[in-house]
Amino acid sequence: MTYRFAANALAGFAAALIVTSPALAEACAVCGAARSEASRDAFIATTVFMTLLPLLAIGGVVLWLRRRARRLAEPSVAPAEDRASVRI
Amino acid sequence: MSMPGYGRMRVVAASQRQPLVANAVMGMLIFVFTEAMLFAGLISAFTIARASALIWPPPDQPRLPVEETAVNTLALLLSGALLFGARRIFRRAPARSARLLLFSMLLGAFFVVFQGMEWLALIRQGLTLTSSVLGGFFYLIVGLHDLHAVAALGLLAYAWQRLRRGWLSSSLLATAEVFWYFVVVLWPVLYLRVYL
Repeated sequence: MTYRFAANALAGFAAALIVTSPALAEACAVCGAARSEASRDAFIATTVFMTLLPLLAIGGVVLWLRRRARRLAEPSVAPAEDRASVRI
Repeated sequence: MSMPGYGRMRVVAASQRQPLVANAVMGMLIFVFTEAMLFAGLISAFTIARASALIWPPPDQPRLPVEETAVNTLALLLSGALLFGARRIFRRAPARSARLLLFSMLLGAFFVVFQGMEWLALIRQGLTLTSSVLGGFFYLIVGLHDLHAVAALGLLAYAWQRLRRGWLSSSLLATAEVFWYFVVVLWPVLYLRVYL
């Protein structure tokens, strides 16, 4: 019983620490920086930019590969140009 | 089918599948992607530093040469267009694409040299790596781009040399193209973000 009470108390304390301490310590990377409206907008814009860029880049390559695969699958297309060296 | 000592064997036809893209090109695409993320991080950091500053640009620092760099930007874009043209000619008559490839490289070299002269002028006016946040970011971002431009020019020069000697694989040209197009497409973004 004592053990369970201690465990519950510890869990409660840990939960309270997690909820309150980051704000106290300004543990969030942008807590101390984004004090003005322009800074907040910049953080939001760059977060969107950094999130979308890899998705767009990888998505673009995948789409390009898909289109290329379809094109190469057509019997009329001869892909030799992409494989062989060209003698000039 | 059976052979002495081997029992039954199955003869499998050789695979007819071709790689969608050459390994070198795919490797360069992955490299370019990582570099794009590096520049995205730098641009983001610059954007936040700029938005957080009370006065921008710093009042005691020289102004960046917007008009001169716009001309330089056009030269770089033209270089990319010439490389695109060189690729189209390469498909039909490879030997005839050498001149266009050379002009593309010359315009790229002009861009790099012009940037170097611009740096010298800015350093003389007092904009250094440690003089301000603007100077630090400017030399870091633009310098990194120039480093990529020099490396891509080296690859293009290697491709041009192979072309002149009579052997240039399409995949090598495509690899150099991917690198150079990255340099060309990235620059207007940097120009709009850093200079304006």
